[in-house]
Amino acid sequence: MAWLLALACLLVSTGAEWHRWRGVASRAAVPLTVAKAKPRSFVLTERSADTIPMPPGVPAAHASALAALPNGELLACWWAGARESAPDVQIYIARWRDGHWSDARAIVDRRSLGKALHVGVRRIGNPVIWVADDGRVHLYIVATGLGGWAAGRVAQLTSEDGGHSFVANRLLPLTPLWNTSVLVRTRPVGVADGGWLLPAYFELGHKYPMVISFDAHGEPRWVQRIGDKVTSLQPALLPLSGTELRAMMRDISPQRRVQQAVSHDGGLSWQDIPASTLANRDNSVAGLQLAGGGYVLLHNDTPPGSTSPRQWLRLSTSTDGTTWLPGPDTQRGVADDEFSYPSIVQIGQQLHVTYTQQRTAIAHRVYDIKYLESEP
Amino acid sequence: MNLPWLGLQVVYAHVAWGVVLAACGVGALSWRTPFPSRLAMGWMIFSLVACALPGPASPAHWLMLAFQLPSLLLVACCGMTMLANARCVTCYRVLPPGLALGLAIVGAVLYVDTVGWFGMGLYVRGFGPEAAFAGLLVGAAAVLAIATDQSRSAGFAVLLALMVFALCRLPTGNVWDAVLDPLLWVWAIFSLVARWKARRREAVPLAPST
Repeated sequence: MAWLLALACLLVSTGAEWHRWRGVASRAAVPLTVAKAKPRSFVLTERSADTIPMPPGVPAAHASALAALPNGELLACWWAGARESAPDVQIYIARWRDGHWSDARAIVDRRSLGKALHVGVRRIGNPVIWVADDGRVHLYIVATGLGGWAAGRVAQLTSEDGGHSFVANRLLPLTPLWNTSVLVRTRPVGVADGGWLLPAYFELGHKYPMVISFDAHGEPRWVQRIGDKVTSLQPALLPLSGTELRAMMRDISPQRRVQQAVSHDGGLSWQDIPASTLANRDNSVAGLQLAGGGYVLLHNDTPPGSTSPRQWLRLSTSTDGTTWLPGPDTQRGVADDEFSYPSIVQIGQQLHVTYTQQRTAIAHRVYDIKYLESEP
Repeated sequence: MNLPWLGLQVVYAHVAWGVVLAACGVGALSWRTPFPSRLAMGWMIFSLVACALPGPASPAHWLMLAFQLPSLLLVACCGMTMLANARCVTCYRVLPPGLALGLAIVGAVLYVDTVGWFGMGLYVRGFGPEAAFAGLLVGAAAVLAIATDQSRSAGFAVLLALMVFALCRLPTGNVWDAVLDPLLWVWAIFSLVARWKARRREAVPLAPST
């Protein structure tokens, strides 16, 4: 009798799985959204430099993220509070419109996030923001459980009103270790069907980069580790063609170079390739393919004789995403200065860059993009 | 990926942690006195009610902060041990050897892969149809074990976990999270060590009388 009951359980399970999966392709490659223009040389000229107004009485700020709304407005998100990991840390959002920043507004803290997700949240950190083709704004936030950043989980929130208010959807399930140790930092890249690829990374002991695929509605499709190295993290994704994608990564190895991996199937599989020529001493990078062709990469460098890994923030440019030339210095300070965690987005013919300034503010620079050759 | 609805996960978390907490308490309280004692029954009811409370008042809230969601198989095994303890005088705290060995080996490979030693990406494969099919094969093995009267309770625990996962994708949408979590893995290793120690004690020959 018992075995009949067991068989019935198995049949129910089989029927449910068959119903769920029939006709569904598990992991199909979707072409990437790439600039249609051919590779062209370009120059960047600084138009303006300012800082985003900080909320009053908040001394620490870090880890900004940028996204452009369809109406041409720019959204910037970052965390701010008494200090990193402090209980009062909140995610703030500011809106850039007609050349001016709005006041920063808190959108989520650990208490409100925990309440919305019905789960305890110890600290919140890096935000990543993405505007989908349908205008919905998707926000990903690092939210830790019990422990430090290695206990990080990724919360997914959505806004239906252009970033004015957000609803918490879920914690993304990304590891079997109590769903801890996966974080986000760098901006997603779009794919042709309206979905996007969100870069992420694992950081419990070993550190390795990952990518999470989402469909046009923000539902996660698949997750893939990037390469085999365990000393790279925070990948910045650069689409090279409809199927080819390059990841430029923060490096914690003795090599001290921006590490690279390449995918030839839209992110479904990855191979490590030799490190780039760009210096990197455990610093986050940001990359972007320009709409008119060409690539930019923001990364830290260390001036000769200095030991401060974050005092110099550089902008490098490339026509093909593989060979990099020095562009304008975004900011070059003195020893012990910190200009770090850059973020980048394009609006029209302008490049907007934000980054952490001395851990107390978010700096904002605007560059004009000028192509040296006309579009063929 | 097919992920469960957040509301369903919240309900599951409160019920599941209630069962796990109840089983832990019952196991500790019935260490010397047979279950069901009044104290153990009281603890069981307290655990289930306390975990049903909303927000930080609930132990489930704090358990989720650290451990997120328990696997379905852990919850099923906790239920199984409580039932077993209720039926016999001897306390039953270790997992059946076949189940414990399987969980210990599979868990070791999964966790070593996750921390980056291997590049197999075993966990992320748990969202796809291939993993669901593999789960059904494990379910078929469980049916076989039940039909041949081997580890009947463990077989039903596995089948129940797979069936709930197939129907509503709890706890996370990943088949690994349905059948394994670090607490269950530690329990499996503890069970193997406990059995090995017990076997060694039985194997020691009595000293010849002089």
